[in-house]
Amino acid sequence: MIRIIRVMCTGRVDPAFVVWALANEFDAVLVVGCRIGDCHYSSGNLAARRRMRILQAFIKKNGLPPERLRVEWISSAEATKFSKLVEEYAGQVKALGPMQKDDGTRLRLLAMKRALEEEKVRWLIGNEKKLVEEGNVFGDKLDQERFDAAVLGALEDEFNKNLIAVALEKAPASVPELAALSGLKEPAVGEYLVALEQAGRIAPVAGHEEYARYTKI
Amino acid sequence: MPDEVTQKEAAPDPGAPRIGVFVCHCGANIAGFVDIEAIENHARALPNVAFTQRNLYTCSETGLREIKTAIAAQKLNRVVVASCSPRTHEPLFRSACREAGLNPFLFEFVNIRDQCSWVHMQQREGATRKAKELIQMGVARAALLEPQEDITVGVAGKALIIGGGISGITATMSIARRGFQVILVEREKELGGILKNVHKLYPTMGSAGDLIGKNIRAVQKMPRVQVLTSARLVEVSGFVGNYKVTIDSEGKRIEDTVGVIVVATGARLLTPEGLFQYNGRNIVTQGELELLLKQGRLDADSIVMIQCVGARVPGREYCSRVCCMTAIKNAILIREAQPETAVFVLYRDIQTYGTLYEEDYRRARELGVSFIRYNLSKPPVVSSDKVIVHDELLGEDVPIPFDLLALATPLIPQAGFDELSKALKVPVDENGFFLEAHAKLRPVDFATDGIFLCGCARWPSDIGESVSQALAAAARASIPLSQGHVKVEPIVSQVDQNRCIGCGLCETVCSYVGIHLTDTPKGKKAETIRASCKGCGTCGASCPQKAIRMSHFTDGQIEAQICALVGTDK
Amino acid sequence: MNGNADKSKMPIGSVLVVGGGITGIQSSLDLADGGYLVYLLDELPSIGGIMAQLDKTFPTNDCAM
Repeated sequence: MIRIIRVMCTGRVDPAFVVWALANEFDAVLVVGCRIGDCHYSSGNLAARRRMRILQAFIKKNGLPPERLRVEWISSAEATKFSKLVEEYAGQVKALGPMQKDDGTRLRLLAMKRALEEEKVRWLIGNEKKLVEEGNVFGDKLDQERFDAAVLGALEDEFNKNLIAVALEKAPASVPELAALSGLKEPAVGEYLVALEQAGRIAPVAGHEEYARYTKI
Repeated sequence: MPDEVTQKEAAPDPGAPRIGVFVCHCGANIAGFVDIEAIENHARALPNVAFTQRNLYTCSETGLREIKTAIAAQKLNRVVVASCSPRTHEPLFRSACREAGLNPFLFEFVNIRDQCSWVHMQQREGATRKAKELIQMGVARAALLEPQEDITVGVAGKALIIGGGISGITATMSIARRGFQVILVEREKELGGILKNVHKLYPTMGSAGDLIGKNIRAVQKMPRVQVLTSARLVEVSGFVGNYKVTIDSEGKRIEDTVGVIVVATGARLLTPEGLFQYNGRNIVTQGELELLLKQGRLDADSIVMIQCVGARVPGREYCSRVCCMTAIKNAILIREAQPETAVFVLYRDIQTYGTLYEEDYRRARELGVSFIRYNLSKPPVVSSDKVIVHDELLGEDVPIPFDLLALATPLIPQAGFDELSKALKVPVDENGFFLEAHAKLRPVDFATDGIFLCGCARWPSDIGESVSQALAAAARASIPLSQGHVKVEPIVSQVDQNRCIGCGLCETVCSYVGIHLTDTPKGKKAETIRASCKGCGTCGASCPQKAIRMSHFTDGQIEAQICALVGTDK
Repeated sequence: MNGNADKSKMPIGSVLVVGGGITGIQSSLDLADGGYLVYLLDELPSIGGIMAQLDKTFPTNDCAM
C-alpha cells in the first residue's frame, strides 16, 4: 500500500525528501510526474529527472539498492498505467524486503540527507544542464562522466563530514570511535572534525581521556 | 508580465495549532470498506488535534455546517477533511473555512477514498491502517500550515479560438457578441472544417453547405473578430488572463496577449487503407459517399454500407458516435431520391440515441433499407463487386453484389494534436482526443485555468452537440473576461534575501520569469514575481542556500508529512 | 466587474433559471460568475434534482453529491 505525498510538480521534489522518507521507514519512494515534454510547469520534470538520476547513483554508492527509488513519467490521463506501475513496483519492493531500521542505517541516511542539503552539492546538481550541455562562459563543457564523478565526489565528502556531525549529535565521541563508526581512517576523521569545528558546529569536550572527545554545539 | 492588482497584507499568525479532523463516510464509499470509528478515534489521539467528527457526507450542506460550527465553537485554527479528492472538493472545503473566518490555506485535504477505500476494497484491515496513517500525515502537515492571501491579476479582454470549423466559429461569435475581442485561428486556407465536405445534416436534412456558409460569412463580418487563416499557434506562455501567444499566419508572425483560449480543432475521418479492399473508386468511405451525393454524382443500383470500419476494434476501442446516423441519413436520402436503388447497412450495433434519431432509424427501415447485423469475429468479406456477410440473425453467409461500397470510418484525432497538447500543456486521452477537466462536471474546461475545449477535438460529436459545446465553452471562457481579473493561487516562492547569495540558479530553472535577480543594497538577490510564479517549486528544490521557501509546500511541511509515522529526529 | 467589455454595450439585468437540477445549477453559477443577477427556481423544497439522489456517477465514480 502506498502513501501519496502531493506536491505541485516533481520539480518540487528535493532529493533530501527521498532520503528523508527512507530514513523514516518507508521501504521505497516512487516519484511520478507528467510525461517528459508534457510538464504542466514546462520543465520542472526535467530538473527532477536530472536530480533523481544523481540521487539514484548516490543511493547505490551508499550500498542501498537503487530500486528503492523509482522515477516514472505518466500523464494524468493514464490511470491504468499508473495502477499497473504501482502494482508492479509494490511487488518489486516486496522482493527487496523492508528497509533496514537499525541505528547505523538511520545515521547514514540522515548524513545522506544532510549531504544533499549542502550548498556545494546543490550548486553542482542544479547546474548540471549548464555544465554538461551549455558550458561555462568560455564555452567549456564537462562531459557527463566527469560531471557525475564531480557530484558524487562532492556528495561523498559532504556525506562523511555529516556522518560525523550526525554521530556527534547523538553522543560525544573520540576520533577512534568516529573512525570505527564511519569506516574512515583516523586522519580523515580529524580533517572533518577540524572543518566542523571551524564551521562552529562542534567543539572538543574538556576531559582527561587519552583521546579528546567532541560534541555538537 | 502581468500586473498584480492587489496584494494584501500577510494574514495574521493563526496561533498554536488546534486542529479539527472531519472524517467522511461518503455514504458507503469509505465507511463500507474501513473501520471508520477506529479511524476517528485514532485521529482524536493525534498531537494538536482538538476536535474530531464523522460526517455521512462532509461535502453536504449539513457536513459543511458542522465544519463551520466546530471552527467557531472549538476555536479551531486548522481543518483536516479526510474524504475524497482535492481535484473535485478542495474549493468547497476551502470556502467553508473562509466562511467561518478561517484562512482557506489552513485547510488540509486527506484522500482516504480514491487513494484508500476504493483501491483496497478487499483489505479492510490494511485499508483502515492506511487511512489512519494518511490522516496522521495530513495532521502533521496541517499543524505547520500558514495562512496565504490570494493574488489577483488583471485579465486581457481577448480570446483566442483555435480551429475554424463549426465549433470554433460558434464559440468565436458567442464571445464576440458579449463584447470581447476574438482571434480565430484556422490552419487551412478557408474556414469551415469538416462541414465543408458534408452534404446534408441529420435530423433536419438541411444543407450543411448552407449552414457553414452562413456562419463563415457571419463570423467574417463580425466586429471585434480577427480571422486568421493558413495560421497556426507557434508558441504560448503565461496563464489565465495573460496568455502570450505567437501565431504564424501566412508567413507573418503575430504576437498578442489573450485572456482565454478555446481549443476547437475538430477531428478527421480515418482513411481505411487496407480495410475491406478500400480503393477510393467503388469502395469509398462514408465521407466520400457524402461528397458524391453533394455533387450529384452518385450512380449505383446497389449500395452496401459497412459500419464500424476501424472503430470498436482492438487498438481503437471507442465508438465514433456519428457514423450510424450518417449512414442512416444517407440511406434515407438515397432511397427517397432513387427508390430502385438497393441499400444495405451492415452493422454491429446501431446507435441512434435520443428522441429524434431513433425515428430516422425507423424511417430508413420503412423505406426499405436492409440492416444486417454482423459480428466482429466474422467480418464481411469484400471482393471487387460482392460482399459476403455472415448474418448473425440468420446464422448464414449472405452474398450481396454492390456497385458502391461505403465504409463508415470513425472520426480520429486531428493531425498535430500532440504538438498543440504540448504547446498548451493540456492532456489528451489514450486515443489522442483532448481530455476535459471532468467528464461530468467540467466538460468544456481543461484542468488548466483559462483554456477550454469544444466539438470533435474532445470526442466525436455531431453538429448539434458541437454547437452546444461551443456555446458552453464560450460562456465559460467569458467568465474571466467579464470579471476582468482572476485570482491566482498564492502558492509561490518566497526568498529569504539574508540567505540568498545571488547565484541566480533559481532564475535559470524557472520557466515562467517567476523569480529573478534584482539589485538590492546588499548586492544581487533573488526576488519572486508573485503574479508570474506558478508555484511549481523547482527553484526551491534547487536553491544551494535553501533560501527559497515554497509557500504551502514548505520543506518543513513536506518533511513533517513524511516523518509523521515515525518521528525520527532530523 | 465587467472590466473588459465595452460597458455601454454590456447587457444589464437579471436572468431567471427555471429548474434547480444540475443543469439549472450550473447555468446559474456560470451566469452569476459572468456578472448577472440570477433567480434560480425549483418547485421542490431543495435544489439538486435527480443528481442529488444518485450515489456515484460513471465513468469517474465521483460521488454525485
